[in-house]
Amino acid sequence: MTSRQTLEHELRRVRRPTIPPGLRDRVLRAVPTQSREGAAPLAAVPRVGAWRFLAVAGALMAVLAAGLWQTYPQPDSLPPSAGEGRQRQVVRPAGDDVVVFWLDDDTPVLVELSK
Amino acid sequence: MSMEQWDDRRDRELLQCLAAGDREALATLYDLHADRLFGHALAITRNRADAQDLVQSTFVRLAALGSAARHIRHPGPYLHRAVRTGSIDLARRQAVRDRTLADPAWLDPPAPGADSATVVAIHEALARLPVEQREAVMLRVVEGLSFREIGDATGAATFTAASRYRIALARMRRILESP
Repeated sequence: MTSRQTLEHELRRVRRPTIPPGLRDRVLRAVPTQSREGAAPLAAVPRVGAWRFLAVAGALMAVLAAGLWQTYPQPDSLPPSAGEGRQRQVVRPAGDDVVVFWLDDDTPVLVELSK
Repeated sequence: MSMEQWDDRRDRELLQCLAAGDREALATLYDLHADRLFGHALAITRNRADAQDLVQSTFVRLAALGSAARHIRHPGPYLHRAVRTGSIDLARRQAVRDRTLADPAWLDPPAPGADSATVVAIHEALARLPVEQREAVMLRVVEGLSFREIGDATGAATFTAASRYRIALARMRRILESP
């Protein structure tokens, strides 16, 4: 048995493996009834697309930004500091500049610089 | 030998039925493919019990695909590659349990009237081949697949499948000629 042809000839004597007859029933029993009857198995659940992920991430970012905006002290909510001759400028959303002079701790004087 | 072993069109129709929940389609797919899948699994594992487990897990996974099963374009090669993937998982689990794979009687005994000494020697030489070469020989000689089909079934190029077969035969000749 030296040539390739001889070996191939001899190899053909190897019998095709016989599959155990009980395996068929075993396989069909092992398949979950749920998926065989058409219910959605795990693999058929639609995958979350990238756009859905981005939408959720964007919503979370918006909530986070709103929270930061609320907690960050706004200019006109700052408490006046103690002392005399203090002044601070408040820039309002409309663009008006208002200078606040404090005569004493309890008496603010507002001066509008521009309208 | 050059005849096509798989009918993709027929198998895709069966997968459509399976995806729609037709359990008979799975039984038909089993009847069409299980013999060859078992031979392939046996070539990989050299263990009849493990080969049965591989065939079973392959069909269970196929059924679990549900509606995704209708996207399989070449079901025959897909099933063979699933057997290979399953064998890797099996080998990992067995490595953890430190279990030996080989089964001395992994192939059927020689047919009556055959030169049993020669057949047994060939069985032993097959068992000593690396797994990829052994599956190339078994799929080619025993299952009758072409090299292109062996490549499809093993996820390799046709040239690679033919090369594995050629190297396997050379190695088997050396094994059989050694005293």
